[in-house]
Amino acid sequence: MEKPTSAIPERSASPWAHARRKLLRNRVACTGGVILILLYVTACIAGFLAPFDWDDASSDAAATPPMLFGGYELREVETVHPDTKLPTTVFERRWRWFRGGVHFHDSNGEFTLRPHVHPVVEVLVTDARGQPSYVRGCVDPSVSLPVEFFVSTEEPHEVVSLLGFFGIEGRTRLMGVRAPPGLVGHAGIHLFGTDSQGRDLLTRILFGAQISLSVGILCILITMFLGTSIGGISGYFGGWIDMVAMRIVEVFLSVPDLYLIIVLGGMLREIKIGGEALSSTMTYLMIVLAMAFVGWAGRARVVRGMVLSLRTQDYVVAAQAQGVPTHRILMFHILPNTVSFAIVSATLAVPSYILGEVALSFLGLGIQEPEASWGNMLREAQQPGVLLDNPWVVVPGVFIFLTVLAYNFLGDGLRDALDPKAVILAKKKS
Amino acid sequence: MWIVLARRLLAVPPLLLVISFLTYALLGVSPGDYFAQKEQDQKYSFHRVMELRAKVGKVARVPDARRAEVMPTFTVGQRRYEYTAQGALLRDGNPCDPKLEQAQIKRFEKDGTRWSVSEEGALYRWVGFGEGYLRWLWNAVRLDLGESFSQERDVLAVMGERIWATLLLEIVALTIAWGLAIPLGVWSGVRPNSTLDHICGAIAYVSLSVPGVFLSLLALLFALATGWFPIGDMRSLDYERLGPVEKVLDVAHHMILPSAVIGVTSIAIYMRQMRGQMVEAMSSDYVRTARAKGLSTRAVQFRHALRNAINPLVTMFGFSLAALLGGSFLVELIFNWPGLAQITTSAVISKDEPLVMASVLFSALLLVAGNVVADMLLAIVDPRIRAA
Amino acid sequence: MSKHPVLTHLASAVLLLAACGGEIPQGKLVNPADVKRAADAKAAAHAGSGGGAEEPAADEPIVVKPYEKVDLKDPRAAVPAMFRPVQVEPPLASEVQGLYGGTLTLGLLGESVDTFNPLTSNEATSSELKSLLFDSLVGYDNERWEHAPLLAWKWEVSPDELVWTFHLRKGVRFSDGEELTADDVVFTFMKTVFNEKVPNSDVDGFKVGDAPLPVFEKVDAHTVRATCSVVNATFLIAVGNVSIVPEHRWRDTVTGDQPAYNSAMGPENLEAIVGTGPYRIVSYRPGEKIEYQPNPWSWRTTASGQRLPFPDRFVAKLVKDNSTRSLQFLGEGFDFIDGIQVSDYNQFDVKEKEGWFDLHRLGTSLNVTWLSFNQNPNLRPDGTPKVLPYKLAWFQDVRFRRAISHAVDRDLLVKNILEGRGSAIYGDTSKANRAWYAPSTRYAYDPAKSNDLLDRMGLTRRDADGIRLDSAGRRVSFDLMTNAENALRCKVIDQVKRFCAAVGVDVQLRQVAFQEISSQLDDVHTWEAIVLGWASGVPPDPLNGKNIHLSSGRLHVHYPMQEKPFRQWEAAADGVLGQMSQITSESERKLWWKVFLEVSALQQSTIFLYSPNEYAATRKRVGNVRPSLLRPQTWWNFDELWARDGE
Repeated sequence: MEKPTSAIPERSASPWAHARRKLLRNRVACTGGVILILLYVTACIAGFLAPFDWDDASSDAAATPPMLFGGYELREVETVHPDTKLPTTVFERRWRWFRGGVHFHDSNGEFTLRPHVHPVVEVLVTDARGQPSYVRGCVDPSVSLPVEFFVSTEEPHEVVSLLGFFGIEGRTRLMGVRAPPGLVGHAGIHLFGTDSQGRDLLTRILFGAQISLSVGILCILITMFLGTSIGGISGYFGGWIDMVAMRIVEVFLSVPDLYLIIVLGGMLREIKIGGEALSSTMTYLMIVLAMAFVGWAGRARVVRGMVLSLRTQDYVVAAQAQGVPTHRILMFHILPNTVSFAIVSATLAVPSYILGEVALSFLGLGIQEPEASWGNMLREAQQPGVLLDNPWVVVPGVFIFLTVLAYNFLGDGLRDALDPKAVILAKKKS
Repeated sequence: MWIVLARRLLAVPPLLLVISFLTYALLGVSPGDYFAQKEQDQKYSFHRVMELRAKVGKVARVPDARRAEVMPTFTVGQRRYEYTAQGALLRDGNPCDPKLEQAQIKRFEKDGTRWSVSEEGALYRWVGFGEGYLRWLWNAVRLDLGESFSQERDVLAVMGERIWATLLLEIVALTIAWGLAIPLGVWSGVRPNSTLDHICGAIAYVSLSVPGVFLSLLALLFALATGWFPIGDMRSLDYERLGPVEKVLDVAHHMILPSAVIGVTSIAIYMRQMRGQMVEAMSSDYVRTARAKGLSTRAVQFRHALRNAINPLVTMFGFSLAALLGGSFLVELIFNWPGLAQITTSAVISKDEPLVMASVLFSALLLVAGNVVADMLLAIVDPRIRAA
Repeated sequence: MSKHPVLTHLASAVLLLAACGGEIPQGKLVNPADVKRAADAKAAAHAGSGGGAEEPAADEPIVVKPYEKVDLKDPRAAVPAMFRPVQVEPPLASEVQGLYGGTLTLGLLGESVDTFNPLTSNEATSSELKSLLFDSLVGYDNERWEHAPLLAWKWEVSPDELVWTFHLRKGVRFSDGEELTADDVVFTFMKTVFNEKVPNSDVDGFKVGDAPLPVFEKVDAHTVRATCSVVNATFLIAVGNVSIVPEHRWRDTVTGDQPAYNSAMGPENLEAIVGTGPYRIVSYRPGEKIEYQPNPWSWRTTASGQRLPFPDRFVAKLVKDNSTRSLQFLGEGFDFIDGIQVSDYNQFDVKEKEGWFDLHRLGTSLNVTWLSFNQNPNLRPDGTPKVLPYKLAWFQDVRFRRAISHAVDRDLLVKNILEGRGSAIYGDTSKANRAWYAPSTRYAYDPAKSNDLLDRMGLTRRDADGIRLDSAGRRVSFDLMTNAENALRCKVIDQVKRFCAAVGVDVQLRQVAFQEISSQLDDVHTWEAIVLGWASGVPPDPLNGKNIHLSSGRLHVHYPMQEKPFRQWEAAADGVLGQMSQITSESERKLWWKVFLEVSALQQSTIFLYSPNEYAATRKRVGNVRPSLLRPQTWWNFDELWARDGE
């Protein structure tokens, strides 16, 4: 079995290094990876990046369009009364690209390099029929407020947080707008606009990322752990253990996921601790558990299949002959060989959990408001009326799309690079 | 091959048994039952609620003749009750009207078991979880799956009304998905990195990344904006008045959007799998050998590579049957499709147990059927398995 | 097909861009800040005159639309041959005119119908549709808000208000051709509605305390006498709820322990559904539609000699999702839509300009949304209290409830959640209820007062988050739940959390399935606080809500089914309602109702929040539409509607 090491030195590079090189050459996969890293980093420093707190709401700024692209101006329009056909004037909002949103002119109209925004004012007017009606999200074009960077806040808030779990407090925000005294309306920068309650979408997307991005990871960790251990044990020992385990797996595979998640979610939700209902963190964990509970079976089956073939490999048989204890064989000889499969399938499976949270939110069973998650933010877009009135409520959907896409890019890249089958085949041949 | 089939079919009953037990357990563990609110509803007498509970095996009605034998006396608070040999209820030795005693005897405990006496004087024993399951099972074996609580009709009748709509949508979506996924997957697998491969890949990525719920909603808005498709539903209102050909066309027209939405997400998965298999097969030794033999490219691709590459897809086909059922859930809801999704989601949420049990069993059956079909197909396409 | 997502994305992008607007700005540019300042100044001037109580409802006169006239020489105006000849004495002689033919379609929010039995159906869908098939003795005119003759052409009541005599029209026939007589009426009341083995809610209206039920008896073939044992203010309403069924069909099904009548008229046997209504049912597809055709024996006639109804077909389309239903209407899927969601209003408003439908702006709804705290002192089956004792003490403290009411800015709720399309309410009855609205004391938005009340309860200490602590150092916090299916209410609890945080009270939100809410309210009673709504009945008489208002009521939310009133004020309120149910004079009843409103307003056991505006729409192709705030808003006069285009 000895190899002439000097003859082909590049071959001696470990399969991992080989895979890494292959992965780095794959531009699509790298893009996916970079997007994911960016998303996770921004989620971690959401408190610093976000211009507001996650539950800050300003009623004046309800349904503000994305300032990144522009804003609404209020206009007085001549029209006729729909019933009496007499001429009347009504107030209407009209879209103005860029200049209505973030712009580079100060209040005097002079060009500056500092971005400025207009204050947002909500006004109560009468419509063509003389009924009171609110015109929302209009800007006051006569006032331009400078956007300040690295503003410090009075109250300390969480600036860094590991996906919502361990926080560090600070007093700095990346940007903010200061309201001058006597201002009518709301001073604030809403790059992606606000929802119907006047909460900044960018802020909620950033904080929602902490939940939505971690749901997938946590679920996959749990399913991987269960799937690999159960699959590994049943594949290695075979016999009645295998029989029982595989029947259980089959049962889980035969029950439609959504039923199980709904029932489980409803069940876990009912749990009360000391008469108090679950906190939002616990609800979140319950959803994770419910989704993980239905996901492990498929993985266990594949891992079992792999272990089944690895078990007959020479090096395992050799280890057995040497009297290496079973748990050591499993830990050091067999499971490492399933790692590449695990990584690839995990990466490809994370999106299904992210989308799963969206589906649960559609049924109203996902993460509960006011906590933000991408799924429950998108719930607002699920009312066609709201979607057509305030189309920017789909922005969280764009982020879901991006994340899932990035995971798929990366997962495919990893598969090509690691090629789990190739690894096993190589072992077989060696 | 027939042995394979027989072995598979033999495994079905135990599987269904475990699934039904699991579902029953999950429903039993979660607090609250459908009847809790019916008990308060004036339209339902307590007796009726208990009869409904007895039907699903939550309680057991003691035969009227055996009341005195099973429950000679019992005490609730200060009051002592007994059953006479004739089955009449006595309170402190005097005949009494069970209706007036409801507050006391609606629920009481004796020897660690819960009992109830209805206003008709009927005696019920609350059975444990295991016994309840066995009672359900005994009925189920005789194809009596009980009555849906919410609709108060035979579960099979309720499901029967819906099942065809769901199956139709599934089958069409499945056909679309596979009909497109396989050729596209083969094509891009044969010519990796060609333009078509890249286009297919891009579409696959995009369709995988849009939440299905959202895609359905966009499809509805699309139908509203263009007027090309009906907005939801399965048939137009004038369906009965159409000729046979028009009927088919009408349903087909309604089916385009929902089946496309369901199909789109699954196409991507199968297409990528097919492509991967094909790429692998094309680079394998036997294809190289066949090439070296001088066979035409087409013959190599279709006779050698494809036949080997398609095996995992055949297995996937089995799974896709049941997976689609789950995938069509939200689509059916949004498109107002008169299928199973509407009744089953509300059944799960409202704990309409017989309906939930029946629909879970049905989908499990569908999955098992899918697997058996896949095994059979595999045996047909792969002679090695046929021999085994 | 695989290009479909691309198409959809493109389409949606176009849609989004279109919605953002892209047209050239026209009209005069105005500064919203100036408009707001002007509006604020106007509001401030107006507020100076306002006091603690609300202004009374404006008693606008009821406007009754005149009937449309059609050309009776039109070939379509001739009575179709399908109608069988009937001689009704006296005839209905409605002023309505119309042309025959065509199909009218109704978009109904619902899934499936469990039964067409008018008595045992228990969902809103079935009970709204029952009047298509069945008639009652007394009808209701949604436009005039008053009872109208139907099967009984007139009725009399004795001076002691105990004996009612109903005179039936002669010659009315069921849809199987049999004539309706007093026997059918007596059968319906005595053998079905008052049958203890036939569980139903129609009987509730006839119950006054523990008094025996009234007795209906036949005087002659077309006269029925009802003898009550006590005066019942809502007797006529109760009679109006009961659909008369044919005795000859169901005579043998009402006896025994489990009368077969309970499961009669299920969807599997449509032939058996026989009534005197203008339509008969011809097909039913669960989750899709119910189809009706004119009853060939229909007894309804017009002054110009036409027979009602006009259309060839009437279809109720079942749609489960409210948003899908709105989209289907806008896609010209059907003719009527009631109860349009506030969030869909803008779409209807914009599309109305296309001119093919009318959007009816019906004003403030009779339905109310409220918040309530659980004051139930009982124990769970396992012996532990249903509500944690220290929390129960807050909830039972009127200062706490008033403080929360003061903390809630209802105007902001209306503005943010209803986009201004609704009204803040401070009492049980919305202003739209012209007959029963009365101003009462209100605990309007005033955080200072709210803080003050909470301070006086001794909840003065605060923790680091600014949340109040009680004497034992426990955070002042409660669970607030609502049904997850209702997006508006989910937003409401979200806002309420913020309002409460501003006065130092922490709120944990729970969105749960409606089923769980109803089991909580009906049976479990372990909830802490809840946001829900009441829908109004027709007619909107407060006594229709006895179940809600009486302390023994099943839906008496904060503490249902009390064996005896647990507080003095509850006893007082029960007394007031008891008085009301035995007085027939409208004006006196209104006085009592005013007292009740004041008692309940002072207690704030139910903190009323808002009433949304009601919107409904009908296509212009429907003739004789007479929209009403009362349900069913657009098709309550279903026997008079006709299709202009005859399609």
